[in-house]
Amino acid sequence: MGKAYWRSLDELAATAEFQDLLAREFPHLAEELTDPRTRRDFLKLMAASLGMVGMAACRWPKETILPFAGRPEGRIPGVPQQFATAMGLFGNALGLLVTSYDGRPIKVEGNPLHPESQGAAHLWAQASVLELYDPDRSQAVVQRQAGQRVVSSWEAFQQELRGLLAALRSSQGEGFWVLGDATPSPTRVRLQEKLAAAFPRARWVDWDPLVRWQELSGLRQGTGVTVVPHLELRRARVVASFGDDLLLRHPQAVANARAYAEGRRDSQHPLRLFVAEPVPTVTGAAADLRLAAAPGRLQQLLVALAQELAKVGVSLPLQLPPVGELSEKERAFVATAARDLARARGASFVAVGAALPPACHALGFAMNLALGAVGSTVRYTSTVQAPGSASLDALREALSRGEVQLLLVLGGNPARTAARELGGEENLRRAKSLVRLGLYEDETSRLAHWHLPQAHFLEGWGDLRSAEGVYSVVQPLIAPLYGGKTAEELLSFVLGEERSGYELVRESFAALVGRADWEQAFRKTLHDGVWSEKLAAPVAVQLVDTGWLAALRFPEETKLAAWVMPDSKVLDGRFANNPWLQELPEPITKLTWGNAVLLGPATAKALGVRHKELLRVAWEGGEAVLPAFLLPGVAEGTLGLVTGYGRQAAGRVGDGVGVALPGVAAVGGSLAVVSLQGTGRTGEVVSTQEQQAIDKLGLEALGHRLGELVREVRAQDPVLPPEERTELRPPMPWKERQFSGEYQWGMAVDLAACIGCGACVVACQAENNIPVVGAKQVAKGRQMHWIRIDRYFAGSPEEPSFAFAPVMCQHCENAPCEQVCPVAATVHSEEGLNEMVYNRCVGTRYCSNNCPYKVRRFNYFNYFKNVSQVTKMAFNPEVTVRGRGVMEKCTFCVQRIEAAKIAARNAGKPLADGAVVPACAQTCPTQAITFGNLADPESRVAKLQRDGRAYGILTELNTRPRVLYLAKITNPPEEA
Amino acid sequence: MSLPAHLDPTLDDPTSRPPLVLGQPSFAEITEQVSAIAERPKPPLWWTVSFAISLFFAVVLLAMLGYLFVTGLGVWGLNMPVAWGFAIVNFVFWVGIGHAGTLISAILFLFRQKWRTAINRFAEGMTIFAVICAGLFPAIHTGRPWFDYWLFPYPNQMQMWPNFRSPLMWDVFAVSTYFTVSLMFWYVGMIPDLATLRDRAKTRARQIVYGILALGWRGSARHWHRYERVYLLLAALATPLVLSVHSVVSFDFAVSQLPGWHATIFPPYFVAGAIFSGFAMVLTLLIPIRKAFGLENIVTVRHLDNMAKILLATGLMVGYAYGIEFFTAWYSGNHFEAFTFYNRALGPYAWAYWIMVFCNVVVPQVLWFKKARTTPWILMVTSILVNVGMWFERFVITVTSLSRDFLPSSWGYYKPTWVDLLTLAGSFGLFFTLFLLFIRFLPMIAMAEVKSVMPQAGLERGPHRGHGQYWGEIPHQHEAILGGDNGERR
Amino acid sequence: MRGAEVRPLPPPTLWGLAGEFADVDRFLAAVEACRKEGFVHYDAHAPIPVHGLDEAMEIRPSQLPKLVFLGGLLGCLGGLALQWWTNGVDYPFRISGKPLFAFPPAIPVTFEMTVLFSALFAVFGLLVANRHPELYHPLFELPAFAKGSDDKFFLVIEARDPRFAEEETSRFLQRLGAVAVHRVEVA
Repeated sequence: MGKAYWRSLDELAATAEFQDLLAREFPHLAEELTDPRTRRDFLKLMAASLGMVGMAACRWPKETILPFAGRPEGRIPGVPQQFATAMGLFGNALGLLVTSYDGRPIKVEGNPLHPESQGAAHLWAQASVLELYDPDRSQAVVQRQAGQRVVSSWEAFQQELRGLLAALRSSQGEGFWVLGDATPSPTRVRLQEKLAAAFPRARWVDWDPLVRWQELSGLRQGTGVTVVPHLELRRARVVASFGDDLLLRHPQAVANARAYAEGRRDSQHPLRLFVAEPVPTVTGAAADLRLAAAPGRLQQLLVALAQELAKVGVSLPLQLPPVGELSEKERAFVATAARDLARARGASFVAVGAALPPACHALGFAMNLALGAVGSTVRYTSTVQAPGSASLDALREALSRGEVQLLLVLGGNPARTAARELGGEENLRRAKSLVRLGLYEDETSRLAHWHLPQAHFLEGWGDLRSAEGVYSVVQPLIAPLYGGKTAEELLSFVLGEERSGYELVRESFAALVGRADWEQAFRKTLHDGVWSEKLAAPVAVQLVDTGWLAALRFPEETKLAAWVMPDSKVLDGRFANNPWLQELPEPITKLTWGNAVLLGPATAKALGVRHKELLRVAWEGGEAVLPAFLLPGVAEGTLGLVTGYGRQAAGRVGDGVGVALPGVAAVGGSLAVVSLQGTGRTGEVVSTQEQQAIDKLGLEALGHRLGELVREVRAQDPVLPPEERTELRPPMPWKERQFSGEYQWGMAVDLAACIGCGACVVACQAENNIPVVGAKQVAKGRQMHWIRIDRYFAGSPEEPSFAFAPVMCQHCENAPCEQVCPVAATVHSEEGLNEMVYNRCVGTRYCSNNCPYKVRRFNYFNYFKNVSQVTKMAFNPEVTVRGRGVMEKCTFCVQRIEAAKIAARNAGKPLADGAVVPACAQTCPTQAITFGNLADPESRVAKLQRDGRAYGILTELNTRPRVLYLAKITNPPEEA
Repeated sequence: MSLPAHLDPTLDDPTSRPPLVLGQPSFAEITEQVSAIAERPKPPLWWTVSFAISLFFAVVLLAMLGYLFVTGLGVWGLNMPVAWGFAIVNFVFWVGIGHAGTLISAILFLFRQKWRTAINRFAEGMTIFAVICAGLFPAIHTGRPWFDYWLFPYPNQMQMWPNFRSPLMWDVFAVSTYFTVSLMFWYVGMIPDLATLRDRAKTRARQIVYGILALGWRGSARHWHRYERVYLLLAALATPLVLSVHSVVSFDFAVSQLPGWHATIFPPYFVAGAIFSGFAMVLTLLIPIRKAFGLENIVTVRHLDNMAKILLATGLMVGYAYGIEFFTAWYSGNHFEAFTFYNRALGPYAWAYWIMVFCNVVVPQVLWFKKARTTPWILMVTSILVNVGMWFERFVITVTSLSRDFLPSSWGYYKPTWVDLLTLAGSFGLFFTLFLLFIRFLPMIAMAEVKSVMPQAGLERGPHRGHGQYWGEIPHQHEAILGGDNGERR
Repeated sequence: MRGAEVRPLPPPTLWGLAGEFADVDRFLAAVEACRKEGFVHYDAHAPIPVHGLDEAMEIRPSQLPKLVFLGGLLGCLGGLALQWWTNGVDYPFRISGKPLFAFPPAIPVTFEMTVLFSALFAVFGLLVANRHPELYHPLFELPAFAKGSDDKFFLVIEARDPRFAEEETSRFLQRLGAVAVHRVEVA
C-alpha cells in the first residue's frame, strides 16, 4: 500500500498539474521532491501531496493516512511531531505549537516561548483544528453572475482580475478598494504599502469587530500617536475594569488570565480586581468587588472615578464634566476603587471596555498616566493596525455613490459584521465588482461577484505581530485541503508578482532582519515560533490633547437598555460553524447552541417576564425575538445580548443556531431598547446547568452545599480552617492493599485561578475525540464533555458572587463506580487511575448512578455516525473513538501518560515532574490544573495537595479522590 | 350468597371451620368444572377479544425492542444523571408481581393454609409470566444488549470473568434461580392435573400433548409418596428464595452510594412491597376470571377475604417503610439524605410521590371493612390502584434519587419518551398474552389439591402429611355440614 | 378410546386385575387387606394423595431428602468456589479498594446457587425415582382407568404375583368392596 502510495506520488510528480501545484504551493519543495532531506522538509512534501489530493477530491483519501509499508528515511510513522505557528485573534497574535500526526494537524497547544501564550491557548485556538477540517469551508472558486452561482477556477478568476486591474492601473486605482480584516501581519503591511505605490488612489480599509477600534482612536486623540496598549497585569496589585472583559474577550486574554492567577496566589501583594459591568463576564465573576452597572452608567462611573481619584491625591489635568447623582452602591464602588488604585499607585490601572466610546479610553489613559501605570502596568507600542487609509464611513459613501469599481474583501465577513457601518447589503451590491476571499462561502460571499477560498492559518504561510511587537511566522502544517490561498498570496497576485505565501513571508522576514544571515534566523524563528527580536519598542506617550473631553457626554437615562457583546464562544459569529464551540457551555449562563436575552431576576419580575419566555426586543433599526434567560448579576433595567448567532450562511452546523441582532454593531456596546414585549410563548434554551429551573427547595439545598463544594480563603492568609480540612482517608474495615505502581497520578485544581473560560473543556474534547451531540441531546442532558465546569452563584441574585469548579473524574482510590460494574469494565490501575475499558463495557450505566460526582458520560447513540470524512482527520489516533452504548469519562489523558513513560523508558531515566501534562492542564490559561506523581513528595502536585488550601469534594464518602481542590482566594476591599 | 351462618365461608369464628369448596361437589364435578375450561373447543368471546388486544401490545413490545436495538438507548428518556429509568422501574415492578405465586404455593403451604389450593396454580402461573416480563428489562436496558451474555460466568477465550461484587451479578443469579425454581414448582404441581386432562382428552393432538406433559403419571401410591416429599422440599426451598429475590433486587439500590438508595431498610421494605403488589395482581386477575368461568364455589369469597387481609397487612408494612425512611433521613443528620426525601415529597417529582402514597397507603385502608374485603368490585378497584401505586413507588425510588444527588451542578430531570411508554404497555401485552394462553389450555385450578382438601378425601382420619395436613376441622361439624353423608353423593 | 382399537392376533394376555373403588375408606381397607393377604406385585392408584396409604402399603420413607441435601451442598460450595476462583485468583483486579475476595459480597450468589442446585436435584431426583417420563403402561390399556385421575381409586394386582389366580383374586377384590373388577390385558 505504502509502496503504491509512493509510486502514485512519483507518477503524480510527473504530471504538469503536480509541478504547477508545487510551484504555486510549495515551490521550495520542487527540488526536494527528488531527495527529501530533513524530516521537516519531508513533512512539508507530504503535506503538499496530501493537499493536492485534497484539492483533487475535496476529502481525505484513505490510502494517504495509512502507515507507510516502506518507511522513508528519518520518518517514524505514528510518532507525533509539533510545529510552531501562530493564530491571529482580537488583532493580536497567539503563538501556538501544533501536534501533527502523519501529516495531519490534530491538536493545538500554546507556545511556551510566545509571551502572549506562555504555553497556554484559548478555546478558539483549541477549536481551530476543527475549523481546519470543517467540510463546510468553501472548497472552490465561485463566480456569481446575476444571482447565478457558478463554480469556477483560480485561472478563470485570475483571467478576469487581470482585466479589471489593467483598467484600474490606468486610473491609478481610482475606485479600487480593499477591505482587510486587520490581521496584524508585517507581510500584509508590506504588500499594503506596495499596493499603495502601484495604485496610488486605491483605498484600504481594515475592519474586524474584535479589534478595539474605539481604544485606538481614543488613544490617538489622547496621545496624538497611533498606539496599542500592552497590559502588564502581573505587575498590577489593583485593577479597575469598566465593562472590559480582560480575561476572555480581550486581545491579551491568555496572558492576562495567567497574570491574574499569579496575582491571586501572591499572598504578599495579592491582586485586587474591581469590575463594573452591565452583564456578568468571567472577568466580573473573578472580581473582588463587582458592580452591576447599567450600560448607560459606565461612562459616568468612569468620570466619577476620575473625580474620586483627584480627592485621594491623584489629580488629572482635566476639566471633567459633572456627573449626575450616584447611587449608594455606585458611590461606594467608585470610592473604594479610587482609594485602592491610588494606594497601589504605579502598580494599578484602569481598564476601559472595548465597546465604550473613544473619549472614555482617552480618559482611562489619562487616569493611568496619573496613576503612574504607563510604562509599568500598561505599556504602549506603535501598531500595524493603522486603520488603513480610509474608514468604513468613507467606503460606505463611496459605495453609495457607486464609485467603487473593485472591492477586494480579504477575510472577515463584513456583510454581517459591518452591515450597519457599510449601509447594509444593498450598499455593498453597489460595488461594480466585489471580489471576496474567505474561509466560508458566507453572507459576504453571497454578495460577491467572485468568491475565493481562503487558506486556513494552519494550511497557509503568513506572519503575525503581537500587540507588543513579537514576531512569529504562521507556519502551515498541511497544504490547503480545499486549494485555498492566503490574503497575502492574493495581494501578491494583484500586484502582478504571483509569489507564494512562503516566498512572501521569507521576503518580509529578510527585510525585517536586514542581514545576510537572515536564513538561520528564519529557521530558528520557524522552530521557536517567535523571533528573538521585537518589532517595536514601547512608545513614550503623554496626554497631548484634551479635545476629546468635549465628546465625553453621558447617554440619557433610559428605563431599559441593552448591553451587547460578542458571544464568548462564537465571538462575532466567525466560529458559528464550529460544533465544539457551539456545544461548549457559555462560562456564566452555561448556554449552548444559541443565545438569549439575559435579565436579572428583579428586572424580569418588574417586566413580568418568565424564564425561557420568548421576548420581542426592538431597538433603533432592528428587532429580534429571543428567549429570556434569568441570570443573577445582570444590572437592573439591563438586557444582556450577544452577537454572533442566527447566521444565515455559516454552514450546516451554524446556520439558524440562535438569533441574530439585525442592525446592531458587531463590536457591541450600549443599545437603547425601544420596546420589549413578551410573546407568552416559551423558547428553546439549552443550558447545561439550569440554575433558574431549580425550585426553592433545590436552591436552599444548593445553599447548604456550596460552602462545602467551593471553599474560600482570604488572600492574606490562604489557609483553610482545620474544621474545613475534612479527613481524606477514613480507615477501612479491612487490610488495605498498597498501590504498587512506580507513579501515583494525582491532580490539583486551583479554584483561585480558575476563571471558568472553558478552554480546558475544548482541549479535552480535541484530545480525547469527545463527540458533539447537538442541541437536542444537550437539552436532554446528554452532553459528553469529560470536564464539567460547575458554576455556582452565592449571595443575593442582584449582587451574586460567582464560583467555578472544574469537575472531571476524580479517580477515587475507592471508586464507587468500579464495585458496581457487573463485568469489571471499570477497574483501578496500580498507578491509581480509574480505568474505563470501553471494549468490556456492556452499558448498564450503574457506574454513573453510583458516581457521587456524576462525571461519567454515556454514548446513548453512535454520535460519530454522521461525522464527515474530513472531520475524522481531526481525531486523535491515540484515543479510542467510542461506539454506541459504552460509558466514558476522563482518563487523566492516559495516552499522554503512557507516551511519556515510554519516552522515559527509552531514554532510560525516570519521568521528570511535569513530563506528563493532560490536555486540560496544558491549555489552561491560568494554569489552574496541576498534574503529576503523588509518589514523589517533591512533585508540584504533591506539594499542592499538601497545601493549606487543599481539600477534597465529598471525601466523607471515603472515595479518596486523587483530585484535590485548592480553595478559592478572595481579596475583598475593606469598606471605604 | 345466602348461606346459613355455619356455611358462610367468611365466617371469622375460629371454633367453626366452614368448607373450602362450596356446594359439596363430588370429585367428578370438580374435575368436570375445571377441566371443561381447558377443554372447550371454542374460547368465549371475552377471551378472544382480550387475547387480541394483549397480542397486539405484545407485538408493539417487539417493535419497540427492534427500534431500540437498531437505534440505541437514546430513544428512551434517559440522560445524565438519570441513567436508569423505565426499564429498571418496570423490572422491579414485574419482579415484585412475581412474588405472590411462589409465596402462596410455598409459604402458605408451609403455614398449612389450605385455602391456598384454590388459587396457587393460578398465582404460580402469574408468577412465571411476571418474571418473564421482569427478566426482559435488565436484558434490554444495557447499552450493548448483544453482549449481555458477558454477565454470565462462562469460561471464554478472553479469559475474563464477571465481577461478583456487583449487585447486578447477584440479580442475574437471583432472578434466574427464582425463575427456574418457580417454573419447576409450577410444573411439578401440575403433573397430576395434566394426567387428568390427558385421560379426558378427546382428540389425538390433546392426547399426545397432555400425554407427554403428564410424563405418564398414573397416581401410583409410591409416586404420590415421593411426589409429596419433593413438593414439601420445593416449598421449603422456595420460601427463603422468595424472600431473597426481592432482597437482592433491593441491593441494586441499597448497596450503592446514592442518597435515597443507600438504605438498610430496603430488603424487608422491598419484600413487603413485592408481596403487596403480587397479591394485588392476583386479585386483579382472579376476580374477573372466577366470575367469567363461574368458579365462585372453588375460589370463594373467603379466599378473596383472606387475600385482602394479606393486602392490608403488607400495605401497612409498606406505609411504615415510607414513614421510617423519612425518619431515618432526618435522624441521620445527613443533609444529602434528608434533602432527597424532602425532594421526593416537595420537589419536581412530588406528583409521583403523592400518587404512590395515595394508592399504597390511603386506598388499602378500606380493607379494614369486611364489606370491602368481601365485595369483589371494591377489591378489584383497590388492587388495581395498588398496582399503580407500586409501579410509582419504584419510579419514585429510582428516578427522584438519581435526578438530584450530591452536586447540584449535575442535577437533571427525566422525562419518559413515547418509546418508554409503549414498552411498558408492551410488557403488559406480553404478560396478558401468556396468561390468557395459560387459562385457555392448562388447568388453572389445582384439581388434585382441591380434591385433597375436600371432605371426600377422608380428612377426618389423621395423622396427615403433605397435602392433607391437619387443618382443624371438628369432625362432627362435617357431619353437620354434609348431613351425615360423608361425601358420597352418587 | 385408549385400548379400544381392534387388535389382530395374538389374543391379548392378562397382565393383572384392577379393582375399582369409589371411596377412600373402602379403598384404604382393601389395600391393607391386600397386603395382609400377602400379595407383593400390587399397586394402589388414586386421583389424590390418600392419607394412610403409605402405612397401609408399608411404603418406606423416600431417600430423596438426602439427595436434595447433597445438591444443596454442591451448589453452596460450587458457588463459593466460583467466586473465590474467578475474582480472587484467576482474574484479580483492584476494585473500589476492596479485598479481592470476601464473604459478605459472596453470600447472595452462594445462597442462590444452593437453592438452585437443591431444587434441580429434587425435581430430577423425583423423575428418576418415579421412572418418569413413562409414557406407556399396561394400565393405560384399561378404558376404565381414565377415571383413575378423576374420582376413582384402583387397586391393581399383577398377574406375575405368585399368589395370583384370576377368579380367586377377582372375587377377593369384589369382597373388599370394589365396585368393579377389570381385566388388564396387554397385546
